[in-house]
Amino acid sequence: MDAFRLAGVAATVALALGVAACGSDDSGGSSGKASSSKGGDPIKVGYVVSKTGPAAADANSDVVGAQLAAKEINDAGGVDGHKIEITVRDDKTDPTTATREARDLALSGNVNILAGATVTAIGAAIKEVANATKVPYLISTANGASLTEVDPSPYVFRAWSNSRVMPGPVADYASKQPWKKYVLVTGNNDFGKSISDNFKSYVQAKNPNAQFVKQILVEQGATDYSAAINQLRSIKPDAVFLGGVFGASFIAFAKAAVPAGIYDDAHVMGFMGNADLDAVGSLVPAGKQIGYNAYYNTYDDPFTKEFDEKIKAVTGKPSDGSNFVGYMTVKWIAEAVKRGGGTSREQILKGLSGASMDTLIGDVTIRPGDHEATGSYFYGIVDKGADGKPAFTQVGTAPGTDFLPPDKG
Amino acid sequence: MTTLLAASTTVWLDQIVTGITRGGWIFLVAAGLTLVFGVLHVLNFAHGSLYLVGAYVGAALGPAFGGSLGAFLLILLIAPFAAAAVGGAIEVGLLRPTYRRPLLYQFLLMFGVVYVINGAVEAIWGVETRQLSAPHALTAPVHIGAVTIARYNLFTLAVGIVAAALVLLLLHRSAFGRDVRAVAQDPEMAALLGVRVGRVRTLVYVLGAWLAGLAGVITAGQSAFTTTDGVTTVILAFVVVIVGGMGSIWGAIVASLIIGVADAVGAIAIPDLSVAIVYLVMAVVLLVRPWGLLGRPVHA
Repeated sequence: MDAFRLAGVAATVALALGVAACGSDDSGGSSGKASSSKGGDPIKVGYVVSKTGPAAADANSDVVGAQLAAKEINDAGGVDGHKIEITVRDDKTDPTTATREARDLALSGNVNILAGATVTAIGAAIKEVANATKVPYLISTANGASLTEVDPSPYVFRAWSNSRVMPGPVADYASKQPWKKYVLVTGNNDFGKSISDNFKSYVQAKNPNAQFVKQILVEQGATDYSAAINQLRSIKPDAVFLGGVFGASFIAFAKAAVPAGIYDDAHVMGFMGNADLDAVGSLVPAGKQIGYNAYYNTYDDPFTKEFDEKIKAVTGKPSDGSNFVGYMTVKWIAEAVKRGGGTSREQILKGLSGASMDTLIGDVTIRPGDHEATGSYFYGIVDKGADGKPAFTQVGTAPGTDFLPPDKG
Repeated sequence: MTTLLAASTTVWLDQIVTGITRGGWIFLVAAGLTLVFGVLHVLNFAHGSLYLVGAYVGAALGPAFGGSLGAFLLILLIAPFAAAAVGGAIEVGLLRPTYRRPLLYQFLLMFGVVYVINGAVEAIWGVETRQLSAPHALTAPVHIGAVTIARYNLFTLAVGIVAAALVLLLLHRSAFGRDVRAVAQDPEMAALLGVRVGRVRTLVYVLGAWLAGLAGVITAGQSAFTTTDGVTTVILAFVVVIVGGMGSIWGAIVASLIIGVADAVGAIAIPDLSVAIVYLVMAVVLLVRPWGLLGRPVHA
């Protein structure tokens, strides 16, 4: 094979790798049968998460939380005598794989309910399977509001909060600060644009003086933020909101922004978990970085302290947002079995709709109309904690219902 | 067009300089791949995985070595040897039997190696995001007139220039380089002339792996990474090799600078399409000059 043909092959393979990295979609499936609801039968949960890929850490945390909840429930005798059995499948961040795994769980595994999804594209694939097989599906950490708002499904419910709620509490906090000049640094995809737009509208509604002078689009998963940093240095904003910039991308942004002096002028708000805090907590100036997440283990609440200890006992690490959402996901399933009066798919569907639970932020409801949970997000200011190490301090929140449209149900 | 006009002259200058410095990083990412292809004619899909090995070992050594400039430079030298060791094992244990076999064997083998290395990396270090803290001496910005440059970017460019110079010197000004060029051109004839072809191939692959590891450590200091970065990195490296001309070190240098500047300028000029700019450059080059900017057309 000559160099010319090899170049062609290399280009084709490089493009194929790129396409494979982006993933593809699939849909379909046949209708499934409902499980029996005899006393003592297990509640089979098919948990599909992205244990391979950029969100793998979140997926693993999600599963740890779910398994902790299942263990607690089972140790206490189960739900009306029904033990919870979780089967975890890795979708490899590929919608086609997610479809195959979810379909297998629904049809061959005969699960009572599907749960999981770490990213929205995977949630969409599982939703298709849920529709086709008539199996209830409870979304865990995937936040895209489109999963419940676009083509609403009678089988799909959400365990905690969506992309409308994600930027809500931190926007609430921002609108009370004397910041006028804002810049949005936005991941160039629907999710990034959606939460950035929501943040902007929430701030503008509460602070008419806020000016959003620029939206800088960045490549999804980018680790080179030179272009954004150069523009921020020129604009000198009071506040920067990072939408859809998380994980390695967030760390890359902070590592570039600190030496460039961006934090000298601006407060920066970004989706942050414990791993991000470990990576850049001592790098960013105290009080200038604000994180937002579904949960912070420094929230001053008895549930949080107890939950954190339980997670530490399992993983040796502090609890994080995905631990919490996974935990809540299985708690909802248990609640649904109780409310519905049994473990059949129909009974679980009935039990999920309108279910309400006391959580660390008070009562949260899965709304009967749009199936959205009214859980909320938190913000925390990165500063020195009680032990002198960087921590999320002054953690606060706002009701999730403040950021959801009225339920039509 | 609005975006084009909105950015100030200073931002444009910043971006062009940033693009040039990014070219240094891109060259580091692609250098090992082009070297291995040029000599061994192997499409080394494991290159991205070797890059990951360097990045993970560098990040793991960081806390133990401390945050001084000396410690960082030491990590920069040491960590790539882990990638080099893995590379040596791949060449001797797996690649060597495939040189005389159809290309498909190498393709499948390299894909398998990617999965094995990535799996091993996940098993050892987990799936969490990792990074290596760069010393303060390398993070402060440098102001040259109206232009502001991140010092780490300048450092990366300097490392890229040194690496390019050393590779070129090694290939064109040393006895080993003479052997390498002989093996690249005609391994059978080189063997008849007394060149230890197997040893040359192993050393070239090890050097390519070391360069991949070096790029990984540089990236760990600049930003952060996860296990999936190996795939995205090898795609970028292949684009550079194709644009520059398969196996041409000078081609890789030129292609890296072009792609670096195009990417940086495009990020401001057409942010909605920034993800595609690198591939647009490749497509144009393949249309106009399919053998790459500094490659040579080969006629059947």
